[in-house]
Amino acid sequence: MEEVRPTRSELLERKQQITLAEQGMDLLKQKRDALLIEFMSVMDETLRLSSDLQRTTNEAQYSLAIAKAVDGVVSVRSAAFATRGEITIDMTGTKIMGISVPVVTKGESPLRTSFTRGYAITGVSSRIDETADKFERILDVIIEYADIETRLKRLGEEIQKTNRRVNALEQITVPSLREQVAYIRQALDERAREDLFRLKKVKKKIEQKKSAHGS
Amino acid sequence: MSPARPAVKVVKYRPAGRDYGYQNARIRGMRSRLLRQSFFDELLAAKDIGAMIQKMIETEYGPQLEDRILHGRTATQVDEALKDNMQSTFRKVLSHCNNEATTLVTTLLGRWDLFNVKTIVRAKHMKLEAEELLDSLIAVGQLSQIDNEELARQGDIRGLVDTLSTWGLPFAVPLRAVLPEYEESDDLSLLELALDRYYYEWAAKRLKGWRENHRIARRFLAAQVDTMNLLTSIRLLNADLAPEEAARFFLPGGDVVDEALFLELSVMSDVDEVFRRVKKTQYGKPLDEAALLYMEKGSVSVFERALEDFLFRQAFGTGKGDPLGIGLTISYLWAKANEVTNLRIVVKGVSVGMPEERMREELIVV
Repeated sequence: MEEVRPTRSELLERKQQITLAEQGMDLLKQKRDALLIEFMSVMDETLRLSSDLQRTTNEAQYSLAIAKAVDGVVSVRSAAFATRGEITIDMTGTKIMGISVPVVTKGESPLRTSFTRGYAITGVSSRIDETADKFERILDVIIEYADIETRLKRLGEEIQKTNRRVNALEQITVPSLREQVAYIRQALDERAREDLFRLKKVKKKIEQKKSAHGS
Repeated sequence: MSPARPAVKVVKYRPAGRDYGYQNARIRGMRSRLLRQSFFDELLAAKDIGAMIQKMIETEYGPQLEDRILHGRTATQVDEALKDNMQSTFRKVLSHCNNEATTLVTTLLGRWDLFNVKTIVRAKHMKLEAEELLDSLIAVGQLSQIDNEELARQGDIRGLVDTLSTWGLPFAVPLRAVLPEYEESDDLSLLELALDRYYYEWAAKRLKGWRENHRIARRFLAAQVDTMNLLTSIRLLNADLAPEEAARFFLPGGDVVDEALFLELSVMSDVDEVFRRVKKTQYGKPLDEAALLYMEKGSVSVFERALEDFLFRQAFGTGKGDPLGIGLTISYLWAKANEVTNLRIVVKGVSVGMPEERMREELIVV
């Protein structure tokens, strides 16, 4: 236990600290509950996007396998030369319950049509075209997923941090302050009892002196 | 030491003029070595890629497979071996061709030259190095692998056009014509469309002639163009393009789908309407057969597949006519291409764990 001066003012101060810690703990608990609610809704969205991503990837891989098999790797590669491009992503930030969360948004949609992919449709099979379409959908979902996953991670970290703070207050700070209060009380009581005893002794001595003078 | 034997120069026989006797005898021999359905059944039952390679190594694909599997027993290496085999087989066929057949076959196989030129154009548009695109070229047309590599080494599209011009190849003409517009707009599809249109127009003109062999080759080319135009018109249905915009995608040289019909089809409201319009043509039946599957899958590739099957049947049909005509060569070349596609489907399918049923659906069996 840290060095505590067993004084009345210290007792009052410790009591105030306990009240403050309990108030802080309640606030943190409320924050944690609110974060959990937010976390669960983001979690639902993340799970939805995750299964969406899984399904889209499976479909795209399957289409690619068929295109490579039927049209040949050479044709798929040739079409891929024409469709190379860049994807722009905007990174901004927002605050959820006071927590800074990065926001990932598509600068320009990665989804293109058969006429905007670069090649002329007369020279590329619809199998390859549909495969390109499915892979563009993957990119689209990945960007959405990156945004929601980052948000989920940040919320998760913040919930953990808040939880640690609540636990620290609940398990360490408040019990330690209570112990200190108890110790101060005990010390003050001890001191009061000593004072009382001393006063009684003094009183007894005074009375003995008075009776000796009187006799 | 035995006395030195005089050097014997082996002169390869090549028939001249329109003598199909020797050519067709050699091609019949090659055709007899095409893989049977039973082989594909055994291949489909193979557990893994290793077992498949073991089976395939005993076939015509053996030498190319042995070369390629040195780099690994993977589906990619098998794919490369199939490509090598197709290239050498097509070259062999061309070496057996007489003068007339050489003209007809190189014209039909010009679609592969077109493919290679387009691949190089795409790569140059994206400023890729030659090494990045060499694996994506397939020399089964008039241009050899060395020609293709030389074209791929050109620094830019203008350099490519100049080289094509110097070599006197027809692809230089359309590229040169649209080059200024391309340089201004940076629109790659301009070059591709110009190449497509020019090749089919050029091929149709080159196959014109009164002889039966010319007619057979011309009919087959026209069927290819028709199927492409039909498919493009279906793909244009949801594009909401103005007629003059849609007309850019029309390819000349077909028999059934002329420009007027193409434009009419491409502005129709749905596939059913297209189907009703072409019902009475030779393409009605394959489209009808695919219509149900299209309703189930909603994918245009269903029609593409049906039209490809139709085209393969047409190609095989050409081999059933005159035994001393070009039909046998065309039929063999497409049968070989079909065989390579089927092998690719099985190899790829097994390597990605595709169900056997699905692989059988994809196989082109005529």
